Amino acid sequence: MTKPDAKIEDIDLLMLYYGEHDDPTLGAKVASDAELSARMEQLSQGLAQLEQAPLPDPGPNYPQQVWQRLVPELGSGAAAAAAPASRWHQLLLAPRFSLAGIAALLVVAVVAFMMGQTMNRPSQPTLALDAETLLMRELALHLQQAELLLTEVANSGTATTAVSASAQPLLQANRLYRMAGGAKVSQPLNQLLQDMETLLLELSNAQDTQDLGPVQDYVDSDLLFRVRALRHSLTEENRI
Amino acid sequence: MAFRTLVLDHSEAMHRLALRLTGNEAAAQDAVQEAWIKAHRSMEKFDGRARFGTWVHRITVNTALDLLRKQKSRQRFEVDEPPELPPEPRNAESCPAESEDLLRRTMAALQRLSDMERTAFTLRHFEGHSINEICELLEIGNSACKQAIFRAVHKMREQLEALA
Repeated sequence: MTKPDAKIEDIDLLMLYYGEHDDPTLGAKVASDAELSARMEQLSQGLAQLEQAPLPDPGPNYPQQVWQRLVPELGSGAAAAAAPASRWHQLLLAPRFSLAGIAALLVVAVVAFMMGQTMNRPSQPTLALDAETLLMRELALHLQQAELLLTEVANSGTATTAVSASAQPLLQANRLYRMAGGAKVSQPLNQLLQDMETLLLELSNAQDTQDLGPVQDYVDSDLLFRVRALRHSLTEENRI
Repeated sequence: MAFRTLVLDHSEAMHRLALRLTGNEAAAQDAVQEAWIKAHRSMEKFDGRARFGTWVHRITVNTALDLLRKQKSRQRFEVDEPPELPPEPRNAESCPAESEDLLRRTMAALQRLSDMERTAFTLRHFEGHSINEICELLEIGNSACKQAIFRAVHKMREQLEALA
């Protein structure tokens, strides 16, 4: 930007301040010239002043709040964008299992549970119990959908577009259930939801015709059994 | 890709950027929300050549500027003067009294810049993007980008001195 004898302008000093000047010798020139050094100092002070006014902190939970607001929006969009490929895939995308619906259900469950914890009116424990039962029933149905997908994976051993597309809404639903379940679900169920999340993420990202050998073994030998056992247990406990 | 992880990792930076561009807390939150929805819809267009942060910042910038244009368009029919834009601090501990006034003056000065000047300056000065990244992000030439930042700095200094 500067030629050997060209006048050094304020824009040159500004680019030097930001480390963006094309002339690598400009810094030395400014340092060796009292007038330029004074101008540079004045500019630096003005810009540094802006750093003394940091923006207010939006709060430690801000990213989580953004995510909570996004979930209903993304859920309906994801469901609409996914192409139906098989009977169980269509079942996954049925309105009953839309993420917006799940999110609404979970909000009801959590609010009701909190009311039950904090208020002493006789009717509240019943409300909390109903909401929890509702959550457990939905969890049982979620495990049923997961079981269908895992059975497909265990039998085929190869990723398909349908597997990947079906894993995506299940993954999002699984995350919601895991977040909402918290302390209200048993440790084995909590662990299962965590393990399923890892697997569903892998299936969501799997390429068409990708060999799922290691995943297939894991599903066949361990995960599918746990899904069936816990679904059966939830079904029995909640009289589904 | 774990979209939730991306949302958790990048939302604060997007909010800072949107707040400086819009000067308005509600608009900044709307811009972040809308930007994530757009990012989710066009995730397949992210080819991995740019950093994800740069890509999502571009979406945030475009969304925030669109919101501003819509606001200005509405205000043209509703009021004659632009609104006062400095945001209300949300956390007294993170924003002590002595810097609060400076923050409000800085935000007011930012809002008096053109969209291009404010965006280029914010990205360079506050967000630390390189000139080349800003050129790519705003789809402008190197010289135009430098001039926009220079004009912004010049106006900001005038504004802050006048307001001091």
